[in-house]
Amino acid sequence: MNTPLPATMIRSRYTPLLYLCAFVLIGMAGVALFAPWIAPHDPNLVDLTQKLHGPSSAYPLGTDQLGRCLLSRLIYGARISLGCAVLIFIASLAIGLFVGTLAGYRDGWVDQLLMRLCDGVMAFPSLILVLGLVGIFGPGLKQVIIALMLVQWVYYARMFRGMVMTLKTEAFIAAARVNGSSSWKIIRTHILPNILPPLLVIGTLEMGWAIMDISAMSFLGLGVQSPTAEWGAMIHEGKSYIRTNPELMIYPGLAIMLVIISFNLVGEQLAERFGVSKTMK
Amino acid sequence: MGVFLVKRILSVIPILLLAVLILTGLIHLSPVDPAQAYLSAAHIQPTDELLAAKRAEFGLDQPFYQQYFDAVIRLAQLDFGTSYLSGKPVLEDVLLRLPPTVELAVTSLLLALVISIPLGFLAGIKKNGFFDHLSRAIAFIGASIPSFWLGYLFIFFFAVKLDWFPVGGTGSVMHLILPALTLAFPLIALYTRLLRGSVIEALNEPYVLFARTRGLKEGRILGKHVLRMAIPPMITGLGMNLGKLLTGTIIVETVFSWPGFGRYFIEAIFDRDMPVIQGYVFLAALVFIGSSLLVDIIQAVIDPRLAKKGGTV
Repeated sequence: MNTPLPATMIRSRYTPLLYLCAFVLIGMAGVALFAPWIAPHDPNLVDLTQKLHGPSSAYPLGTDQLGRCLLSRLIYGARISLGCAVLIFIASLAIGLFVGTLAGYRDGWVDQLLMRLCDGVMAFPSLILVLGLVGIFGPGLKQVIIALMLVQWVYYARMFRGMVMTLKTEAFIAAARVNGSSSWKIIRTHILPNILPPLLVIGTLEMGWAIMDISAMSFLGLGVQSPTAEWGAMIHEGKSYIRTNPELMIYPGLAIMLVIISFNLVGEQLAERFGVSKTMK
Repeated sequence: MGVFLVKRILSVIPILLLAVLILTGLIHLSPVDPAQAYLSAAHIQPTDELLAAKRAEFGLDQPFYQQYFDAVIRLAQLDFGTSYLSGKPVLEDVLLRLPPTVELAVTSLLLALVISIPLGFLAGIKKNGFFDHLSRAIAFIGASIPSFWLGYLFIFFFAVKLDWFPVGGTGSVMHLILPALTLAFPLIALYTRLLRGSVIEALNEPYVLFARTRGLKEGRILGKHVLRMAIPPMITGLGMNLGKLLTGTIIVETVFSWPGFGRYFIEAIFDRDMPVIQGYVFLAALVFIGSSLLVDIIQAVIDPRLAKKGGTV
């Protein structure tokens, strides 16, 4: 574990930006959670008499090609992007934690088998394997989420395996055991504090990747299916109106970029704060 | 060196075997019946006899280990089977679609290098200077901007508003610029930061200090000692990111209607054209693994110490 940078150094240089990004993310999470109360309209309500209108008091960002409220669709889109990213993160983390810890503790053939499986998955560029999985199992949001989980857990498994193997040999663990500490106490007071910082960093960056990948899949028409509002899918639908109504594809793209930039910046700051390497992929 | 090369090349084989195992395993587990997918792609009314005949033809009635063994033999000969849709061998279709993708990828790689080498170098020699801040901004935007959106922004500003470039398609150098730039952008971000980091590292090396105390001219120090040491990590980055480049071509080709390999893959996914999907994913793995092999070999040639240590992987 590297020594963290002196807190004052970070505070002086980065804090306002960090707070801004954290604020954006908390705001987005709030928007996603309370979408039904915030959104001015039903995101899927088609009203062809209102199609492709500019901003007005009733439709703050205007309407799309089917007369649906653009702002409401963006708000509901946050639900899918953030919700799925959290889901993918938790699920791949859980699988990775289980496999990695198992492989780290039980060396020998269990470790060999699990790690070769990881090597096999890592032999493919990750998004291409996701696309291949969607090709094999069929398009749809559910398949995309499962495919992303199946690709992502590998990185966590390797990370946790490495950590467990290092921690296993640490003197303070042996000392705690000799002292008669229970396994739970060792995990809580010695292992968890060591694992948490890198996990926090990688988790933050992972959210950004997941959102990017989900929106890319939806953009390709393989993820979220019409009429569900999702940012990538909105760009996919809006691209045909690039000459007349570019805002249809500009707003959702801005939303994606804003969220990903915030996750990346927070992740980077946390990495610097905890002295963690952030190169997982 | 020779031993290292042989060892490194042989180490690719088990990984490829694993990759094929995963690929055939997934197809085996898929709820989609390839025989059914074939008949529906070929617009043939499925009957029980036809399905059974097709299953036997595809070897689906064989036990899994037999299917895996057959797949290994076939893929080793680059035989990906026949496309359900076109009825032609997949390899033939691939070879037809590959040149435009290679053209796009190579152009954007060159573009990325031409922009990121001077930018990264300038950012590294003056920390917190103008170029350093510029490179940091590009790095953040490059890592956070979805390439499909960036592509449409380029189309909107440079093709629709300014009318400098065509909106999409192929045919001239003008057609190539926007897609290549879209594909290059994340790479520019990455390589600039990478080079900046290694330039800073190289500047702190004792031999640079020694060169300074000897009174060598700053330009000579930077060119001969710093840049030369800063390039190898960049080659690693280049190889590591060929996968990203390949993924990027899929999206960029879709945005710019570029008739390449990536679009062919996306069409195959929509049509459930299993041999094409399998072939593409396998080829992608081949390129991915091959590029990291190539990087190791190049690095060993540049810096023979690495070969003694056993390489980077």
